[in-house]
This record gives sequence, structure tokens and C-alpha cells, in this order.
Amino acid sequence: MGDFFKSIRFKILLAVLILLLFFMLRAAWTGGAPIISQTTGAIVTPLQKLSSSISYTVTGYFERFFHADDIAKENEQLQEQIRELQNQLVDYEQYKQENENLREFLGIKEENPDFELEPASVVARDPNDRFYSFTIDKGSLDGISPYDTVISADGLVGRVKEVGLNWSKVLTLLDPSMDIGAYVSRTRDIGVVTGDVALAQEGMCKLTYLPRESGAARGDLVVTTGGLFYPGGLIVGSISEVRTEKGEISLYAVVTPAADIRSVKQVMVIKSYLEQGVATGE
Amino acid sequence: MNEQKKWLTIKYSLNTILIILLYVLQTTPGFLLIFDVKPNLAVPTAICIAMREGEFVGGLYGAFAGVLCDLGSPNLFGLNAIIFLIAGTAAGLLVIYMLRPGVINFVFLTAGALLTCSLLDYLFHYAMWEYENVWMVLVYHLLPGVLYSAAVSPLCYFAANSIYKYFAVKLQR
Repeated sequence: MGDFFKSIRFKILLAVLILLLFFMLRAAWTGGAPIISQTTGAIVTPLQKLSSSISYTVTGYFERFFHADDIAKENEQLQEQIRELQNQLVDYEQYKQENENLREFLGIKEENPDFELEPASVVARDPNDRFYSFTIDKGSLDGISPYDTVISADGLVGRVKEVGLNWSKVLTLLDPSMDIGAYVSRTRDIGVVTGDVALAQEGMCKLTYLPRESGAARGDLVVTTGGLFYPGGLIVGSISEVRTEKGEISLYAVVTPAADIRSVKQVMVIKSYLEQGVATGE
Repeated sequence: MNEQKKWLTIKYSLNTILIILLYVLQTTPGFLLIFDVKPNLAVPTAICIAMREGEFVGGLYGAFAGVLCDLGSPNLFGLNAIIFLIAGTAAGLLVIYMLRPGVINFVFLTAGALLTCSLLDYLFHYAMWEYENVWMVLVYHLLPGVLYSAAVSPLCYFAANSIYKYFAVKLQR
């Protein structure tokens, strides 16, 4: 084995190791994606886009078989509905829901004309992700930058962490490293939305630092306060439960995100908005 | 380019394509997802290549698989690449000096490499930050991920081993 450590092959491997270490330190220092990551990402992302679209199609097909019991129950309910509403079409509700979703997407733009939006598809979910972070098929070529806000038709999803040429990594609001200024729309109590390891397993996050006298209750909507990193007025989710923090100094609310973070497929990236320009003085 | 170099180039290109394809599969949303856990397919393939091709090629493929893992990971770039470069080199050396390149040893080496990476990942990205209930990440995600990856790794072994065997015949001529 001693021969190996004296060989040129060992020295090459050592050089690769030092190069990787350099890239790691540079990434830690600058926070950006190194050139090696940019290049690999540019090659891999189109393949991921293809595989994810195949996966969504196949999953959609096989879901009928995997969820046969659920579908059977739903079918019974629909049959009942048909009996009750004989003159209505069976899939009226489904079309209505789809229509509402599309309207909501359009509505985001109409309600917030200052938003510069970029639609994107979720193309990869890494096995290493613990808080449902994902990769989208849009990057710096589409004008996306780190810290851009990511939303779906239902509400806030997270923020862009790292940007490549044609891909970006997105951290979701289930991640404990996220801190989002938010308030309870009914009581106007201000807090910070952040992830929690235990709650993330159930697809939920929490609104911390609520005052002890807060009247926040189950069902209340949580909305972003706005600022440099997140536009104001974005729906984060609804409160499921209000609990006391350890030490009983303040309260925190368990929040069910409005967006289905664990299986979201289509998102919108907010590239710029009015408050951002105000905050940065542009 | 002589015949030998031609086959070697084709072999290494095929190994690279195999790792990229398996990486694309492992990151495909919903694919092979069981209880929110997905297997790692790129790293076992690199370990198998390391066992067959030796420490040098194994180290390079390990680093390549690690770079791909870093690409999709929300954590600091480079940690996976460094760990799997060392793991690939170690796997190659172990097979040269101590172990037989069988499937059982391969599964153990894969599990060892992934477990080391997962524990370091846990230490640097979760435990050090002292998030509440941080043990759940280890128990519900990292360890099941290692077990799941080890369980499906023989498929990667057979894929990479088939390429090795096919070209071994070509290169002997």
C-alpha cells in the first residue's frame, strides 16, 4: 500500500481533493455555486426536467391504482352527489377547482402588478433533503437571483438559495434556517415563521415569538409582513394550534402552509417587487 | 488511438453516463420514494467502479458522484465530493489488499461510505446548529436513507459490474 502513497496517482487524487476543498471554502465564503457545480448542473438539469415530466405523467397514471381505496370512497361520494344533484355534471366541482387554481395564479399578477414573476417547474428533489428543498428549472439566465421569493398559487413556498445557469435550489419554509417576518391577519400579532425538525415531518412550520397575550387561534391566516427579502401580504398558511414556548416567555403557533410544499410541482419565482426597491433605495 | 485506448474511453464514458443517469433517477420527484426516504444510486455505482477498477479510478468516480450529490443538496458544496473521493479510494485499496470484490462486501462498503457521509452531514448541518428535536433527522431520514440505499445497491452493482465484465473481455483481446 506504501507504493500507492508514493505514486503519481495518489498525488493526482490529492490535487483533486485540494481543488474540491478550495471549491468548498469558496462556496462557503461567497455563497455562490462554483464553476464545477454550474457546469454539472447545466448538463444534468435538462435530463432532470425530462425525467421529472415522465415521472409526473407515470405517477398520475399509477396513482389511480395506488389510491384505489381512496378513489373508491370518492366515487361513492360522487355517486351520492349525482343522486342529490341530478342535473349537475359529475365533475363540475373538479373543473371549478382547477379553474380557481388558474385564476389564483393569474390573480397573483393582477393583485400585485409590481411583482416580476417567473414560472418554474420542480425538476428534482434530492435524497439528502430533510426539509423538502428542491431544484427548479430556471436559473440566472432567466434573471433569478439568490434570496428571490418562491410561491405557488396557494401561498409562500420558500426562497432561492443557490442559482446556476439553468437551475436554482429552493429552500422551503419548513427549513429551520428560514426566518420570515409574518403576522396573524386577524390579531395583527407579529412573529417569525421558521421551520422545525419535528413539525417538518408533518409538513408544518411554526410562527414563533408571539406575545403571551396574543389572541391568535386555530384557523387564523398567517401573512408575510414584507421587507427586503419577502414581499408583504403573501399567505404563509393557517394556524393549526397555539402552544407555549419552552420557558413560557412567549407563544408559538403551529402553521399549516397554504402551499403543498411536499409535493408542489409548479412554482413562481418573484424576481423583483416594489418594497424591495424601496428597501434597497432603488 | 489504438484499440485498447478506444475501449477504455468507451468504458469510462459509459460508467460516467451510468452515474449521471442514476443520479437523475434518484433526484426524480417521487421516484422510489418510500416514507419520504429516497435511495442514493450514484454513490453505490461509484463504489462498485472503485472495487473493480482500483483506487485511482475509484477515487475520481467517487468525487464525481459526490459532486452530483452536492449539486442537489441544499448544504455546503464539496462535502459529499470530498467524502466520496476518500471513500472511493479506500474501497479500491481495501479490495486490492483485504477484501474480495463480491456483492456482500460491496453492500457493506456502500453502507459504510453512506453512513460516514450521513453522520458528518448530521454533525455539521444539524447537530451543531442545535435545532430542536434534531435527532429525528438522524432517525427518520438519514439512517433509513442509508439502509434503503444499501438495500437497492446490488442493482447498481450489477449495472456497473456488467459494464466492467463486458469491457474486461474486450480489453483482454
